[in-house]
Amino acid sequence: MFDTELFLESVPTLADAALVTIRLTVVSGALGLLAGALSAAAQLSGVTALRILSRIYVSLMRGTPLFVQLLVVSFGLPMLGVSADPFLAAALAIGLNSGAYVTEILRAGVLAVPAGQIEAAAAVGLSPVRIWTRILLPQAFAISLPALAAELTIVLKSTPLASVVAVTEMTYSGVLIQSRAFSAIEVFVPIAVGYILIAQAILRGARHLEGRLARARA
Amino acid sequence: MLMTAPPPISATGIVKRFGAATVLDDVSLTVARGEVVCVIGPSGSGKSTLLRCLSWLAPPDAGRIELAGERLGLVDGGERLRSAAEIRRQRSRIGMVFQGLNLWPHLTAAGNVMEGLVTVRRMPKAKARELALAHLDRVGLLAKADAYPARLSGGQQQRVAIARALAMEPEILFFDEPTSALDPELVGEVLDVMGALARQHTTMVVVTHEMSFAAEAADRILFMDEGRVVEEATPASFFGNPREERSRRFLDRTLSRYRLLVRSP
Repeated sequence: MFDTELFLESVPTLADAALVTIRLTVVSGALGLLAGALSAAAQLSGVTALRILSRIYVSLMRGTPLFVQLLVVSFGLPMLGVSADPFLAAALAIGLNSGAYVTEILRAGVLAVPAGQIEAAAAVGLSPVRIWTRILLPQAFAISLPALAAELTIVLKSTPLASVVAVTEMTYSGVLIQSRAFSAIEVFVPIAVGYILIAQAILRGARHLEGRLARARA
Repeated sequence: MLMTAPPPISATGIVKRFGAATVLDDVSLTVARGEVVCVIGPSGSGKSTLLRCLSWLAPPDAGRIELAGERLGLVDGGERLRSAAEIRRQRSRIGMVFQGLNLWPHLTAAGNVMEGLVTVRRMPKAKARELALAHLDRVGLLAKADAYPARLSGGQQQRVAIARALAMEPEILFFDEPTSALDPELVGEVLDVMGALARQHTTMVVVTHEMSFAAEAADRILFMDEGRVVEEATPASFFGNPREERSRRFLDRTLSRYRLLVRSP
């Protein structure tokens, strides 16, 4: 039996929690993009120490469960004397995790830019940092946009793990209701729909941006 | 004592090796202000490498290069390398137009020309755009200022690349086979722009396979083979009466193609 009353009662709470999920996805995604851009640059910089550092980062993040990373970050930061807000600790852990995958996505995007363009930039006198920020990353970003959007949906679907460090995002909010009301369907169906809607927004947004970039450059 | 300005570029004893292969073997070249030098020779003779050494994109293994009297790449009085920032500053005084079409596709024609002005010369955007438009006008592409490279023909792209190099107001312009990647019908418009620059006494070194351009525009021809300068002469003397056997053979091979064209009915 579907308990309509419980469903209607839960919606406002779940909607609030959905906002937490969206915020966590956006902040983690932005951190992941930043970490990935820096790490991809380090890996392609030609500086051995930076390349090794980036490789270690990527293997560490890809080789351990996000669950463990969340625990390490949220309990590790206070030990280092940083009082971490649970939300920020979770965003940092998810962002750093995603950054490892973004590294590989952007690396492929950067390698797709013809070498002649880099030489042309060097000939004009652009510094390596400027070549990255002005020439390589804007193009790598456009090339990688579909893969980056897919990565952001993975970030979205990783956010329930943040409940382990007491961030009440959408799924955990549902768990709380369910443990009180002993009814699952009324809570988790709308939650599933919520994830689908957010993921669709991400994918459609990326498609739209892709179209705009393509039109601008055509 | 007569004070004369140092030449835009003066290179002596340039040696460049790639592994065991010596690509440039003791090459020297001085270009006077306003002079147009065309470098010709068979593929693999080291012509492109010479330009890349002279612009420090591929630093030479030996030799000395002076850019308007300033030692390029290395600090005078020693072999200590200049800082990366100093090398970039020096390099920005050399204009370079490459064989490949390598405008930055995410920037408009004007954006391509402005990039160096804004990020290297730190010029305000409005002033950089004004200057970019002036240089696009010089290559006949003012109307295409806001077009992205994908909307430009290969010839137009190379003309934007010329404007991009000119906008930095370089001491000297290097052209590395700028028409080799173009469809035949687009070669003319690029050579026209380069010819106009030559007539305005822009200091240029042009690596090219376009013999008629070299014959018309050059003040001096440098013929290279196997990493060495084989012959250096005026166009009239080089094309009319080459001194060296190797020059003669190269010209016979290259120009016979044109003769065939002329003879056919």
